[in-house]
Amino acid sequence: MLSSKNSPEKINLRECSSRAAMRDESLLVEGCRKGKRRKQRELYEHYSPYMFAVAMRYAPSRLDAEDILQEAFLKVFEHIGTFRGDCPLEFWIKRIVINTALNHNRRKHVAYSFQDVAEIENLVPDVELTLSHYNFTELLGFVQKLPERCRLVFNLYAIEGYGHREIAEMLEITEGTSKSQYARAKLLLQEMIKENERVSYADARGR
Amino acid sequence: MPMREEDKFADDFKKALEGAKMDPGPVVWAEIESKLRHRQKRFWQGKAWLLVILLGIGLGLSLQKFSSPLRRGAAMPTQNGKVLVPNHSASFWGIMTQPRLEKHTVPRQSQTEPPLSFSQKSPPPPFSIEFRANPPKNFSQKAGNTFLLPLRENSAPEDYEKAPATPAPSQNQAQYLAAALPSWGAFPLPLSNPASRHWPQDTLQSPKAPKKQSRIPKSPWTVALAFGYQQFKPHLQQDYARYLARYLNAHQLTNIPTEQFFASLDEKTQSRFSFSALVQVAYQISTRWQLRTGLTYQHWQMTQQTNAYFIDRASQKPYAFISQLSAQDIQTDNLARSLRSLPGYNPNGLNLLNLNHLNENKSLQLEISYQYLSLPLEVGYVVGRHQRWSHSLWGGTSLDLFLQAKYQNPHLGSEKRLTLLENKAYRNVSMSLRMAWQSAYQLRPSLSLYAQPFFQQSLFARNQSDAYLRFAPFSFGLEGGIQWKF
Repeated sequence: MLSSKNSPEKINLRECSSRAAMRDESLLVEGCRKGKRRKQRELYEHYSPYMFAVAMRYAPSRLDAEDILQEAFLKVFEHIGTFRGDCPLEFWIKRIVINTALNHNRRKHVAYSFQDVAEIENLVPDVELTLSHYNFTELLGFVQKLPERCRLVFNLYAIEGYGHREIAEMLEITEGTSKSQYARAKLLLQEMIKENERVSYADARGR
Repeated sequence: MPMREEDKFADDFKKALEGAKMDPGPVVWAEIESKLRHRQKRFWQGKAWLLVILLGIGLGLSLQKFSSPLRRGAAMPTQNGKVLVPNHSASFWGIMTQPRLEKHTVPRQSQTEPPLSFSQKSPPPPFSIEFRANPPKNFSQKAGNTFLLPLRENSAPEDYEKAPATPAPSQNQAQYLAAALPSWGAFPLPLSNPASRHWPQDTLQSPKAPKKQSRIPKSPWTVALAFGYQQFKPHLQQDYARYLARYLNAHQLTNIPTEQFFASLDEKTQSRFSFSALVQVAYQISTRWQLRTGLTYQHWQMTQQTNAYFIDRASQKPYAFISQLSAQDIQTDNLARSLRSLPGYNPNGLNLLNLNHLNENKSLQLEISYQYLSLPLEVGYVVGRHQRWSHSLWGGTSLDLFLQAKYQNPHLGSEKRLTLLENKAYRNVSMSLRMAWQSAYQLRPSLSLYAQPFFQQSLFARNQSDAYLRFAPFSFGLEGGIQWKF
């Protein structure tokens, strides 16, 4: 007997909605290719909240994130003709946002002066920290407070899931530097969280 | 993707941050839209320029084709029904390079066909005409009525001396030649030439023929004086919304309905009488290519009007953004004075001003003029020549030195000048791109009048701050002047 989760009706409904979404997406892409402003706006409104959160992770401030988002969407509209549809549109746009964020950082700091801080890696204690009671804004605040290079490596490794070798190629650094920057980011984040917890605890006791 | 190590800390972060959504606010789309519109505009402008250039080249080529004496020769009937078409590789007043003589047979339409448009009174020539710029030394007289005609440029009298004398033309032939030759840019043999002794002198005094030939300028230098009128578009609004949004964000002015503010923002800039005066020196590199530079004084004037105010959501009072940056304070001179006395006055940024408090809610108007001294460097290509007309296409850059900006508020009767020395708001030197189409009419061999429509675009913002209003104007205009060739 089929479970309700796998019932043919459910599958058909899911397939239908997925097909409808794909059709909508291809219509949106087609409209953007033709330069229709309404379709461009629809695409922007659909994807911008998600992409803005991505940009916020890579940028030190909201204004920088706005710049990244703006630049990325201009690139999206310019190069939408090259989108072949072999991956979801969302991934394609996200990739552009990340590349734009990396370029943005590269422009701000003419050359990355990544220092090898390999020794830190060994000093990072394996601390069990619970993040469940932090909301998105608080965690984003911690990430934004990280130094520029640590933030890039942390985002690419921990959130996007790239390996250190890929990150090294993307940022034109060595694999070792990528690892050490990640370790440093982790250490700084742990310190920030601990400090935050200490302040919260002190506040609670003060009351 | 390579295998990743287990990392609980990273996974927790990933779970919390991935897939999150945040509202970027209305400003980003407004800016994207404005840039898309701008790009679209530039795309069409580029296409329009390409079309103008292609049309110019086409026009030039066709002018060149029709202005050639070869074309006219082709229409000339001869006794045996054939015409001789000399195939020159340059136009009739250009330097004659490789003249070749080719015979073409053109069917004769009628025995009484008029000869050419230049002289309806002239009888059809009962002879063939042969053009030779540099006759060969072993030139021998051809059978029949053949005339050897040196052209204006490259004519070599000494070569002619070596050539045997041409037989004297008949009265009709001589009249015909006298009428036709000047419009072809060719001249009869000089009187000093032994070949011309047999020519009847009176027939050479045609009303169309120049009695006395002026000295033909040989120097490659030309000097020009001109005056121009232009319309310019200042591109002032491009980053205005962005600037204000940054200010609001930076000061955490969250109670301000920015959407409403930007929706009701109605800033108008209108170009007023703007002109340029220039002195130019051109150098002719080759028959087609020229270089020119000089000094141009540019005076741009515009009126800026804005209703930049909004209703504060909390107090329901109208407020205005008043900029205290650079010379903009003249815009709101008396408002600014009152503003300075208010608590929380920010001398280096925008200030919130309660219009009810000051009893002032009129739109703000400002008359601005900019004065620049430019040093252009342009390359020109002679697209075509037709009789006395010459058409060329010019393009290049210009270095623009800021001289002065003047701000006037007609409503308040106030005025402020910002000179080069005290200027901090504008770049002292900026750069522009220039393109022009020049049509010149030769009054004398050394003197021409010309007119040139042009387009000029600033390559980057002329004001210092990238975050504030972007002043990167473009202008269209018409310049007219006089040229001397040495």
